[in-house]
Amino acid sequence: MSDDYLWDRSGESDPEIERLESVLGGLRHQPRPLELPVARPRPKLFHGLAAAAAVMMIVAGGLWLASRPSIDDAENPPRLVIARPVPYLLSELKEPKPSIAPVIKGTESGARATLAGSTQAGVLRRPRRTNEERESANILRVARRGAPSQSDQELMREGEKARDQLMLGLRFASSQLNRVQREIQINKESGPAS
Amino acid sequence: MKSIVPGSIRLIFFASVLSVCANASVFAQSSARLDLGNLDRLEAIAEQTVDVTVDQKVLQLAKIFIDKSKKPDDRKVRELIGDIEGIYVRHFVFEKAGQYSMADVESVRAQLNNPSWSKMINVRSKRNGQNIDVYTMITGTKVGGLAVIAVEDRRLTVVNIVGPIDLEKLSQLEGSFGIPGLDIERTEDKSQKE
Repeated sequence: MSDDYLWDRSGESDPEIERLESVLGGLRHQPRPLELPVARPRPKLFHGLAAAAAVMMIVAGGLWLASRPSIDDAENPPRLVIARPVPYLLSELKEPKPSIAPVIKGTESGARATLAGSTQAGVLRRPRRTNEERESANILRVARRGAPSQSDQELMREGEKARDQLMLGLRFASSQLNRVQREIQINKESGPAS
Repeated sequence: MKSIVPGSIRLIFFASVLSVCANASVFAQSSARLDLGNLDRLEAIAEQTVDVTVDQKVLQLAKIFIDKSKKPDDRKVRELIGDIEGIYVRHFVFEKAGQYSMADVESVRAQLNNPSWSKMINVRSKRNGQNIDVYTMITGTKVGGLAVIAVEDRRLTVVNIVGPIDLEKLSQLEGSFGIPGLDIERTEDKSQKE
């Protein structure tokens, strides 16, 4: 008996070998394609939620920055402080007061919102206004209506003080810029050596 | 090579970066406001003090009165302060030279040592020992903030304007629009003669 059958299944076969083949045949290699787990598509809802969360983060961050109290609100309430009279500064102010005189009480909410709301008085139900917002609205009403009452006159005076403060600030800024211009002019005239 | 980072996480990451950038730009816009609180201690030392704090609330009140006015000059002032968010001035006059230290000034100057601020002009005058620095904050193509520090032997002035301002119009403001000049130099010359 040759061993060809064991080598390439040619030639004479041995019955014992054939029996073993039939017994073990079920365990032989079965060639078949590789089956990989199919990737499930990610639900679009998840992408939408992620995008919405990102947008909310942007908006919330912006709102937080916009709404946080500024240096002015927290530490420096609006005021005009003149420790001692400065004649050359106060000559044009209508009511110079040589003392600490808070012009406008500190407010928690901005005057801009106050004025915007006051132009639509009575149209819509708005959140309850603060005292300062009511004062600002009254000033605007008095400014439009004319013939102010005594309390209105006080409010008008506060508004005038606000304007005086603004003018004083502008005067300082303007005068400093003009001083710079004058110094530059003097330097030019005196020559580069100076 | 397939990325191991899921697409949704990348989306959130980029949204967070975008959020930080957007919020940083908002913060940068509001950073033209200088903290002048360190100068408050000079009020006790100075012979004369002027403290002008015009924030948005005071500005709104002042705008009401300026809006009410029909004078053409007031209209020009209204145009000038159109988008200004605040004007802050600290002006001190001391009895003797050297009553304040440069550390007081440096507390303000350090805030201007910032990429968003640029020194526009520096004027030094040996004649009266003054040193004036003009800083501007440029946002886009416009001046978004102004700071002036004028240091003299017996005087210290700090002006801070927050918001867009036309410097040319501002410098023309003194002596016009019913806003007289401050005559700071003239007053100082008189005191020097005395």
